[in-house]
Amino acid sequence: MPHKLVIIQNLVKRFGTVDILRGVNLEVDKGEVVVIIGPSGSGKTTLLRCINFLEEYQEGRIFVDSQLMGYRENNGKLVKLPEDTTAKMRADVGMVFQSFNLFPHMTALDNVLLGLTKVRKLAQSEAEDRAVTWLKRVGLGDKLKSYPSQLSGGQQQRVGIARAVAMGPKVMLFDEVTSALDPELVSEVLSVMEDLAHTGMTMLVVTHEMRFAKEVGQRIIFMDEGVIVEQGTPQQIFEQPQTERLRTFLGHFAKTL
Amino acid sequence: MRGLLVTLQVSVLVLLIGTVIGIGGGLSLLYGSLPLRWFVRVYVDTIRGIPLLVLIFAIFYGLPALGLKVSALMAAVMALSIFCGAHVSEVIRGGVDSIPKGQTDAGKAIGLTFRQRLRYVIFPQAVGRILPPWVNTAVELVKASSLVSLVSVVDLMLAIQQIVGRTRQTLLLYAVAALLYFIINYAISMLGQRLEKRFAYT
Repeated sequence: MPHKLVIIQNLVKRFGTVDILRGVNLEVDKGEVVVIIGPSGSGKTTLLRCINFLEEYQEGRIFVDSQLMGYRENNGKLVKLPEDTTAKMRADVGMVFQSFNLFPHMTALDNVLLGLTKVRKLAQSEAEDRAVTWLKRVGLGDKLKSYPSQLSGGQQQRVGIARAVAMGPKVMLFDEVTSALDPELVSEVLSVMEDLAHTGMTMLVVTHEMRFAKEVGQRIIFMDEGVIVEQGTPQQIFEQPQTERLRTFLGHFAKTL
Repeated sequence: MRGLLVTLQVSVLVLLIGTVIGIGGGLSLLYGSLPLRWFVRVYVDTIRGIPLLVLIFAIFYGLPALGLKVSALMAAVMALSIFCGAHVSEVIRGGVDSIPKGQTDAGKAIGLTFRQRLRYVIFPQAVGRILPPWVNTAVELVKASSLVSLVSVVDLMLAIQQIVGRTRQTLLLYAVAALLYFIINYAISMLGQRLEKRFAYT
């Protein structure tokens, strides 16, 4: 049996009295590419943000590489870990954001370098080698000294990917990373992600790009109202949807598929 | 012109103390525990809500009544620092708060600790937004420092008044006072603008 890299058990997340996640169970194999689809407000983004503990959760467990994320267990109760401990765990989970969230006061190179020098504590020369290598891989070898404001959205997002991957994470989370991009810039970002998928990176991808889901996803998760409604291979999900909810959802994309 | 020197010294000293208080206060408002946040919130809102002159008198006359002996200069510096600290707290809180939340998310996501995020991600961006209101506060402070003349600290204001008392050159001397205050504040504003340019990023 392949190693389960991410294990999510009965995850419950509430904002005040509103249940965002209502018992999510999900296991992701090492090297697997899981694509999460679903209407907005279904909890997809929140699920991702719980995995690297950008959001706290109320019930359930999330294990990344067998380590409980953000909490320790005390007699069956969840006790929050100190921030610095959580920070270390987060370094092993890469995340790319819808709004890029590059550090605007740093060059592309420095954006990638920050984590390598301050978190991974690499020597400057080694860190630079690694950062430059990744920026080249995402096609930005000539933009090292550019500030985010001087880059297009697609370029910024590729820096975002380089910044996350360069850390050498065990798993990568992609949160609607092409949703804020002009249509003509979407493909350059998707192709970098596809490239990454082929290297065997474990990936959880929240997206509305159904073509990408179909072609790159190994397993598709359909979420609605805080639960996983259906999951399966791209073929099962897109060609034989079992539930009315999924059929309705896919109907919205009928034109683009 | 001893008075001018006193005004400058008081202003610089108060600005330093006030900024230190303000950084502590601002960070407490943003990241402190609930009781601490409450405490600082009450401090900031109270001080910002009472006239500076009342505060100066309260400390100058109030502390001796409690058995604490302080010089007029000391009382003045304390009052101004408390005043300045409250304003700077709010300036810092506002500046840091204006940095988009995604920056914190991104910092967390690459594994930066709380302190690292402040140091490398939040503060460098916040400085540019804090500087303009901070310079504003500094200018207000230099002007407000003239109030310490009312508790017999011989600053620029009181020194001028004393000369007026001797020479009766009212209009001329107050014009000189106005000019001197203006020069100090103009210098601060210029310095602020240069700093702003330095911290602006493209």
